[in-house]
Amino acid sequence: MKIDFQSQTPIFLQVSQGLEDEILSGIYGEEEQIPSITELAANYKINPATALKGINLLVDAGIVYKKRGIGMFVASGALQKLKEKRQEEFFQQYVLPLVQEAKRLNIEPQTLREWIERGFTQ
Amino acid sequence: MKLCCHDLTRKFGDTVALNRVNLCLEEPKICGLLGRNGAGKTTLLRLMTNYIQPNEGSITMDERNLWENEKALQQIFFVTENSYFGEMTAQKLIDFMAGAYPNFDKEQCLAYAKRFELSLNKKYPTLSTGYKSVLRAILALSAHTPFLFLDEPTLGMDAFHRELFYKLLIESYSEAPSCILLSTHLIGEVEGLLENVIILDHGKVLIDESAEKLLSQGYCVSGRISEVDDYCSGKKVIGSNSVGGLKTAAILGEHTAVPDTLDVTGLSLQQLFVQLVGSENPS
Amino acid sequence: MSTATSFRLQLKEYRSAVIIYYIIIVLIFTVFSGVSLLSIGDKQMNIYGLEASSVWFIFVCGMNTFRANFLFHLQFSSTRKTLFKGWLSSAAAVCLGMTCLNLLLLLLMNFLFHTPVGSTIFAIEIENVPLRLLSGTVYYFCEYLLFISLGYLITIGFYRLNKTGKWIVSILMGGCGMYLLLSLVRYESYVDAIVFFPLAHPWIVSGIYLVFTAVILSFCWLLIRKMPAKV
Repeated sequence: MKIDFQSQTPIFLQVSQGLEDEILSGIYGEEEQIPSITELAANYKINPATALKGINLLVDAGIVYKKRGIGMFVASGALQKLKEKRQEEFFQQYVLPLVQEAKRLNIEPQTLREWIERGFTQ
Repeated sequence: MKLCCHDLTRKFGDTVALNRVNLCLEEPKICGLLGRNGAGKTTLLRLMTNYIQPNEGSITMDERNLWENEKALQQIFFVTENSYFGEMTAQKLIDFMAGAYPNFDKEQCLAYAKRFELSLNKKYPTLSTGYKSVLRAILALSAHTPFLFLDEPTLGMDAFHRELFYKLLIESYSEAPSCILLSTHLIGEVEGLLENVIILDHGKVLIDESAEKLLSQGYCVSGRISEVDDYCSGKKVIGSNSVGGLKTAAILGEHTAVPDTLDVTGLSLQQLFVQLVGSENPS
Repeated sequence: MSTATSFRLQLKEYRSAVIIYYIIIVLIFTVFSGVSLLSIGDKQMNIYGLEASSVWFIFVCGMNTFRANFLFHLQFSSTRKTLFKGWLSSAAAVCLGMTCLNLLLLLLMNFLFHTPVGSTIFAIEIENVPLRLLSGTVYYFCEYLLFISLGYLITIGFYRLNKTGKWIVSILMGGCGMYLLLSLVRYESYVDAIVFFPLAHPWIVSGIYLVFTAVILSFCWLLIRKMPAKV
């Protein structure tokens, strides 16, 4: 994870997205412990309140959960949830603009499908 | 506990160092006290710690006047380059702190000293600038007073010690939160840490806001000069800079739809600070 | 910090100076006593000046105990009031301690070497010996207290002044001192009267000293009360 103080994305969002990335790439498996608020804050030189805000987003989404007195753990099924979430985001961020632009350029759905398949084989 | 400044004014001869400053510090938070040299940061800190008296206005702790109020003053620990520790050795100072501040954590302080590799039997004046800062810092981080004022805490520390200091600051703060007022010129190093930002300029409080809110108020656009100028018309531009044909402008305000040809980035606190108090752009 | 802590802290400041002072005094006494024992009978030597040098020493002590303690108290969230209370009690303790030490030293020298030590304490015009020693002790205690306060007032005044002020006051004080020394010669009879007056009336003079001390200390407090700390 890298925190970019110049980014338009608020730091607490960068924290939660960074952790999501790390869970997706398997650094933290399901039912494994993630860093504590203090560890996160101390490592990335951010305010503990900011780190807490970022982690709370993940707690609310059911990605991680708190074990009292022990720490934060990745929930079982979190990977699946994250993938679904990211897939939805993928559709919103990439597919919709792609289709929009395709319509503007009069590209047939059939052609687009073929191009996508070509992309997969490359 | 609530520490407040009411219409605080302090003059030195003809110079007005602080001009009707109103400020309140309350809940545990890490606040940045920023300002250019001579903006009044040190004067404010010295006023809030019984070193000097205001010419006008007052400082109160929980509605009681702070001046010569030992009970209230014991809630504050203040370290600066000019802190006076006599000829005491580090070890003696640590022992003395334990007697002077009931919440001082001696074990923690000794552990910190070990991590900084500070030799405890050296007298304070014989330490190097960097190690003086280290000693002041570990005393402060273990004091656990409700208010902690740190004036240029990393002065003269090497890169490793600075990193360690920020790490321990966060650890100590997470363990036992207190209201930490951090006065520094190295904004880039602390901007992630700050929850609140107070900017002094020419003896006045220019900004007193949460860092998140402050940063969300501004953004940067960059692109070709003419396009940036077109976009900026009618907006509050707090600073701009052009290199060759590329122009970057810092804008205050909600960000509206930006043309695709312009790049948008956030403002870092450092950039915002420079734009707000830079003398090249008097606003 | 509590007044007791402040007292201990400030008392410590005197420790090494007092120890060095007494080592020197004892050395001088031993040397002179040795010399006077060797030159039997005809040429008896007198040792004067233990009190006078103590007064001077204590005056200098008073001048050296302000700045460091002031800044230290502020650093550790203490107040000017605690500083002053602590200073006053530590100064009184040092004066009392030195008075007693001096008396012991004089008695010891007298007993060991039969050195005729010229000291005001033995010249006080009171028949009863314990009472004489007591009045002498009280007298010296008051005198030391006066001079330590005077030293303190001067150093506080100087701390408060700016650079120009320091120059002006130094020159004025030097001038006054010179004038005083010159006039001492002219008014010798009065000086003698002043020097011998305490011998006849130790209690009255002690009282006068105390009044002066009180006045000086009030000035000290007035100056300290709102004293700004300098960088």
